[in-house]
Amino acid sequence: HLIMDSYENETFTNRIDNLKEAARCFQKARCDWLAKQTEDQVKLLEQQKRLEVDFSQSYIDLSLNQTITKLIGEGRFKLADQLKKDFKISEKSYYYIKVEALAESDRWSELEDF
Amino acid sequence: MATHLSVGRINVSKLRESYRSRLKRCLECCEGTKAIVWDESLMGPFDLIAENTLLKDCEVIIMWSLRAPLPSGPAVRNIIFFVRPNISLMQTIARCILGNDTSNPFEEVSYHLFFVPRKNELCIRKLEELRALESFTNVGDFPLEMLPLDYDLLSLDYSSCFADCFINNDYKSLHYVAKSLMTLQELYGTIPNVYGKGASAGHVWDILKRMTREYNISDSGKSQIDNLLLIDRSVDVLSPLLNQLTYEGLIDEILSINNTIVRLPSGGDKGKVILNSGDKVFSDIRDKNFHSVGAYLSKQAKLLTSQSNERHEAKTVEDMKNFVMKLPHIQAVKSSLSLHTNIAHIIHQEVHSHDFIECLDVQQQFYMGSHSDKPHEIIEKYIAKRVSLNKVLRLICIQSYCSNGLKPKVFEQYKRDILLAYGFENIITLQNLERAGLIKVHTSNLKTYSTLRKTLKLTVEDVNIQNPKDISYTYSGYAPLTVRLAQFLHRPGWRSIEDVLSHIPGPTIQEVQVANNPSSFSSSQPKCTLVFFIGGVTFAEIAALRFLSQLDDAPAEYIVASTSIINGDNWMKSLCHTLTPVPRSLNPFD
Repeated sequence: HLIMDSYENETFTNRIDNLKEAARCFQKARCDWLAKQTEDQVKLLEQQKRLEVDFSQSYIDLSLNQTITKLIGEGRFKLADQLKKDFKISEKSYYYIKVEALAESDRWSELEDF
Repeated sequence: MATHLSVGRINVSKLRESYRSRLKRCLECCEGTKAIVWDESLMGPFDLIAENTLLKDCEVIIMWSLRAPLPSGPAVRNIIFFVRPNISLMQTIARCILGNDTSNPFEEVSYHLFFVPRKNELCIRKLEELRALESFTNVGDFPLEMLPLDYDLLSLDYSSCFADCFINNDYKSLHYVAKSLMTLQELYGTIPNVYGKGASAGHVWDILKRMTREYNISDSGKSQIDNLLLIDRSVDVLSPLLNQLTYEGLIDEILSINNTIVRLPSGGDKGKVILNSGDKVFSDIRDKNFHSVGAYLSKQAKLLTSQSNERHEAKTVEDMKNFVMKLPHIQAVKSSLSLHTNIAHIIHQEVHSHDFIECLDVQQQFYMGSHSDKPHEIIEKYIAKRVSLNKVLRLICIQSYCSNGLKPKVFEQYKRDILLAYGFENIITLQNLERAGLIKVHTSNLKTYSTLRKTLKLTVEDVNIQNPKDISYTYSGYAPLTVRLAQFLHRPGWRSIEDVLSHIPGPTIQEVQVANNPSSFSSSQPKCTLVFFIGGVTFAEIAALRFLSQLDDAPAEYIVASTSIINGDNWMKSLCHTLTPVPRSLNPFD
């Protein structure tokens, strides 16, 4: 479990490497659930990296829900929907996130359509 | 000064006095003027045993909190550090004294260092490494273990005890518990009967037996405490998870009380209020259910008005004299009433908020035994809306406990939802809670909680809050299991619940240290029982024990000792471990 050192790394690539290593260890120790969560975190970080390059905004270190909220706030609905699909968020949770995000960013017309 | 400590079954000021004289001796060892440098976490505890005049009498002319470099001040002969044996402080101490040598405003100053309650090897070695150890004339211990919080309440102020024992496998705190029990027995006599439940209770009892053999303390005669009941927090994790509904419990949950001090949100330095039984109004209402506090306050206010009106009726000089005699008392009650009306107002707003009521309702559903194979809708909503993670974790732990473990699917969904909503950095927190057994998967068909609930009458449907007949008033319907165990110990005795005790994990202890000295107290007087909570106690549990002590035909009076005072929030915090990412480097090629 000490492999959570990842958070102490300053560079993005090191952080990803640490997490990948952690996932491998979990796999070995047959902690399937933990391995899966760690892999998902790697996936999330990689997507966030891509978003940062595309929009020159900072996304890394936000949670998945926060990332979706931010994307909705910026009006990038397609990308938000894509993340929902990639990480298999339930309809119900997504509904809460979306309503909250739309209200927060004053997108009242979208909220009515939704 | 501390008269409220001496009104109880054992005289707690005796303990306080012993610390005071020790502190005086300790300061007298260093001749001449002194400056004290405090580890900030010790300021509250030391406030409880020594006021500023005592320190002034010992030639302490200035005090600082530990921060490097030391601020400049009047020249003194001695600089004395009081610190917890906390390795992260050693660097600061070293910088304080080594930094001082270059810009030396204190010419012939000697440095002293006292660890509270005891030094540890790691800290000493660290100081050696930093070349700071040799600068000290004196490195010693100041064994302040048990803080006298009130006439019936002692605390070790060791808030990481539960996490240390159940997550880090570090049992140092149990040693402190045993040590503090030795101190108590030196002052109040060897306690004849020892009872206990839970793994840590077993460990403490073992250490205590060993210490008794090794130190061979002289018996100070009559024992003033008849029974010792050691309770491991893991025996009852539900009580701290639920929202306490007594006045003091709510103050702690909403405003947080530290070493009897609460800081009110408005008023800066004036907002600092000491809460103990020295305040008559507070001592009347602290243990009441909050819903009956309003009525009490308004009744007292009316009484006060009529008392102050007596001056208009005073006809003779004698009448006037009587009235003037009462004046200081009236003034004191008046200011105390206005203070508690203010605090009650803050709490009232909180407990009548939609969020609070909704959360309480969910808790009630769980402890009343409603089961579901699905995640609870409100918990799901809270997670998606990212309300405080503590609140969510408390609810999930309650659900897990009351349904004897969660269904695997529910268990994994909660955990995944939390990671996605609050971030992957909470993964260690989740692991910790699992390791401590606070969230778990339903494995066997054992229905531990429902058995306990039925046999020990943990839940009560209609509670009389104004005029309680049972301890369940403290949570408006739930009676803390720990206090039920204390209650059953005396009536009808643990023998009648052996079956239930075997359902609770950890050993059961029923032993005799010394044969009870029958002459020590008349048998008509209730027994005096010290309940030691290993891993923390809530104010609601303390209130419930006080309620039992005050019953007309009470078989026992209780004194409470604990490793620390806890509530759901600070307890959860002590188990959480959130990773925070180091700021990323600004390397554009990364």
